[in-house]
Amino acid sequence: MRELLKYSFLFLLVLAAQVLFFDRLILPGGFVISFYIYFIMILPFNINRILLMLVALIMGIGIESFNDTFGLHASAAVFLAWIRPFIYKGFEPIIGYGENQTPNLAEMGWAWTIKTYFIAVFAFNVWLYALSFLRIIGPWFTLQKVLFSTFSTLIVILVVQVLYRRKMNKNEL
Amino acid sequence: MQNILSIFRYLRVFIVFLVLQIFALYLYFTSDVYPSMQFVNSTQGITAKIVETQSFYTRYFGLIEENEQLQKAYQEQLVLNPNNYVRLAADVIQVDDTTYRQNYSYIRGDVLRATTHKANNYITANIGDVHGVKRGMGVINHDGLIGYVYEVSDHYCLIKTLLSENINIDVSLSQSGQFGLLKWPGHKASAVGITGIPNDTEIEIGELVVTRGTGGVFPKGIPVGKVSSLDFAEGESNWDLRIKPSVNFGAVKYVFVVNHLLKDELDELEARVEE
Repeated sequence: MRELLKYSFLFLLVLAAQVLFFDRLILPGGFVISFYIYFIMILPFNINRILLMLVALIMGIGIESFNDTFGLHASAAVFLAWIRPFIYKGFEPIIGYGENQTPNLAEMGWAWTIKTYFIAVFAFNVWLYALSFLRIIGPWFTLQKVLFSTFSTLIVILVVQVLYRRKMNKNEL
Repeated sequence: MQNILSIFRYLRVFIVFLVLQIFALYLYFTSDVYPSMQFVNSTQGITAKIVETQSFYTRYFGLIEENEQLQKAYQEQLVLNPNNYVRLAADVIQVDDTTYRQNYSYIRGDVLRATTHKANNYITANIGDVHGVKRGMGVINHDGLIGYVYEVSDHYCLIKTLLSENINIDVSLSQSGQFGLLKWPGHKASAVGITGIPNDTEIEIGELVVTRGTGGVFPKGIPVGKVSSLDFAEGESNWDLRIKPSVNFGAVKYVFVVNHLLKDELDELEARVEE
């Protein structure tokens, strides 16, 4: 119950951060940081895969209702939710993931986080920009947008995790 | 039977994935054809309220510019005042006659949200059905052409801007009168393309492009932008023409929705001709 409440709160917080702040922050080159996928990435390892996709769909439609993209983000978010278990499976430690472990920097460390998050964010952005821009501006410019977007999104997500980890450490002390 | 069931169980995550994808992609690819998928746009319910509240606070940052624009527009209007003109010849009499009839009226609205970086860029404005805004009406502001109304709710509307994939607005060059079709190549907000202008037309860099006024959506002669680059398109008899839009879409503060008062009459006439 406490978990559910915590994640619901986080869901709203991430959604608000995306639509009120990150969507307004248009970086040179014309792309936006898709910060909201952070929420899809940090849900616990043992979450039901179908539930994860439904959560992603709702998140996507939430973003959409502010952005007038009509299904674009919903599609990309569901795609991310679908491949997430494969990525995490690929980088599973020999002893496996712990019962209560969650996929974040504080618990998994730098190497694991950067590797898995990079692949996930990159795949998400490929899907997103291939759908929206590929038929208009061609593969080269699309790839440019994908790369810029991947790196900036990754950096923002990692920074947020570092700040979050600091807070957790303080609580433990 | 047992086998089919076990395959089904094995693939159930993938099947759910497919169903959700088809749902989302259906919404995405039909948004041009059926814009009435009402529950996912920013003119509806709580989303519109949040967008409006946010705009209320961020609006103050642009007040100085907005004021200057207004004063400039007023200055231009002042010049048009008949009292500014002196009769030059004694035998010319100005008659206030009634043979003219108002053809366009304008509905003013504040911009709540505008984007320039996406494949299709929209503006959300705080005017809607109750103010008389209808789907398909043209939208301009003081600087020039913006786009047309794409979707309307009771109090809000969604405007498709020039920076969209299938915008296709009739425009003409101000010098030669040659007309073409407006297209956005999708790269950046400062370069909109025009197709269908034959490359024997003489064009100067910096030439003004205006609306053609066909179809009754926009009045004739609304500025669209200035020619910024001109190239020979390979293997084609048309110019590869780019214009810089007159409107800065990143900083639009207000819009005027064009209400063509005689549009019904025009549509009816055109329909009759097509029969």
